[in-house]
Amino acid sequence: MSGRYRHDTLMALLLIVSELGLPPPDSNLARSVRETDAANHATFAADSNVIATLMTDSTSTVTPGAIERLIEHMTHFADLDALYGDSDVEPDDGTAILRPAWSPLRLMTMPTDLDHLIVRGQHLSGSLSDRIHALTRIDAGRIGHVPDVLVRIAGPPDLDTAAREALDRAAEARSVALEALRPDRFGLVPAKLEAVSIIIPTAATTGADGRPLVENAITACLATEIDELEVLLVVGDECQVDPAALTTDPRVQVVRRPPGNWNFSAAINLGILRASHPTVLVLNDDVELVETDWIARMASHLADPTVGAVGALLLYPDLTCQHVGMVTDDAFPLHPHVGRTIEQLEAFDADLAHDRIAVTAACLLARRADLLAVGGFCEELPFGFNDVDLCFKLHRMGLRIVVEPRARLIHFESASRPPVTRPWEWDHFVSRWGDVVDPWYHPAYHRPDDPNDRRRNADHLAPIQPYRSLPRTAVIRSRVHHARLRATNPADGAS
Amino acid sequence: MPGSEPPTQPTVPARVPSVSADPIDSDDPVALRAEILALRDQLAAADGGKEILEDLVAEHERHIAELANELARNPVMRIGRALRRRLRRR
Repeated sequence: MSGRYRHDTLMALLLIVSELGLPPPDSNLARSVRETDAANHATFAADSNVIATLMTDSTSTVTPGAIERLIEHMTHFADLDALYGDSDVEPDDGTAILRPAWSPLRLMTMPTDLDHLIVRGQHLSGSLSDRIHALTRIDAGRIGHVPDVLVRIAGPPDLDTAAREALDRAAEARSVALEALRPDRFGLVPAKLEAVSIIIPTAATTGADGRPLVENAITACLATEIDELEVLLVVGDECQVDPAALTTDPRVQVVRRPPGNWNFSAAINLGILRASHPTVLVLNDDVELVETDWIARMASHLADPTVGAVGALLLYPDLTCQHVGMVTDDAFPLHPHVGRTIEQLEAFDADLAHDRIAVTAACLLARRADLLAVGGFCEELPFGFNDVDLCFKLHRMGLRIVVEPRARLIHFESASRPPVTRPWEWDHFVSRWGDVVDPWYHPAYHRPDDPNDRRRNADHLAPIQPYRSLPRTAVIRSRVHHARLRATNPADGAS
Repeated sequence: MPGSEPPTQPTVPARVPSVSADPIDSDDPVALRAEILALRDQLAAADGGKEILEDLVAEHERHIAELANELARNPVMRIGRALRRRLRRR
């Protein structure tokens, strides 16, 4: 057999294995795989050996060896009820659609990406609407991604009326509403946020024009037209101007931090404790307004109770990407898509809201209660890694981190402080989390032995083949970072 | 100075507890809230540290098992076992 299984006009391919165990390698696959059509569904319904159903379009083909691997995964990973993998697109030009771990947001923003799905048990229909229905019924922790090309597709599935209805129901179940951005691509409708506390730690550093940078940040906040708005400027002895002179707007308050060395985390925590609204936005003082609805766009995600923090698209002054969420490779946080224009982000679908392992604290929206529950920002990480650490803590609480690229700000990155990574901070971060594998970063991009390429790794380099690995879910787990974890006390050298 | 009493050090009764430097003993609500936050932070990251330690323990146990196997195959150990057998026979 060639290993390619073409569907007839209808729906699902059923995987049939013996209940007594896996068939031996290279056994007669005709016994394991049967193509289906409407006429013989009744036959399959009576077959007790079906463990899973591959739902895909009639024009899709299965890649060689994929069936055997799927049977093995479904047998060995009993805690997974659904799987999906990567896809090749015909004609084959050597590039594949590489997917992240499961995210309900990805289903809503790009539903036609779901060109195949393997679901445990027998299912007699495999249309896109059936796939969406199936996924919305399964607990997110039981959906796995197989980093492996499983199917070859002629093109994305058709988002027909039934699929669109299924999509709207999926969005409704998450308390969000969708709006079309371009064909088959969706965004969340901005939400009206009644009240927010915005925390801006600042030393009132001046920009090239001689004015304090924080003035632009304050303007960006006040332009949002939120009814109950509170801007908390956290200042210390290092503040270069009289903070009271920065603005006369009564919504802006000055919070004085106790004397001592600058600690970004401690300054933010002071603001979180002082905040009087249930939603908190952490903001750097070196940002500038692009559009006034940026907070409303971020807030649309907090309607979903499974979301713990929301980030924004931060742009360099030349309007190229500086931050659209973070990935971690070999434990090191990286910024994907840096330097790309918004048009280029669209080509990668990176302009759509998506899950990430972390977002920067330069602009981070969260519920105050969630931040308090995880202890706020780690004060033992006063300069760097504190935002990634916070996001990991929220993940471990069972909450998701998303980035909303349609919420945009210009960020004069590190204009107010030098970008320095202190070794002891890195050691402390690694001693807390080790080498957390990023579920939303495809292993094909992983380059552990090429530190010079590490900063470019984040989706900028061609994927390495082959990259087959085991199914992964959106759950993050700490493990030893062998290369960098020191045996000594990580706090050594801290000053 | 002749005739004058030597200066005495004020003594603290033993039953009066010393003032603790631990912020958790503070009466200042701001300090207390900050301390609670720091403790929650440590708690939230504790699972991560625990998993890393479990990984390390598992790895060390694997190394110990490998070393034990290697040692068991060592000729010196074989000679030692043979000597013990001879001694038992006497």
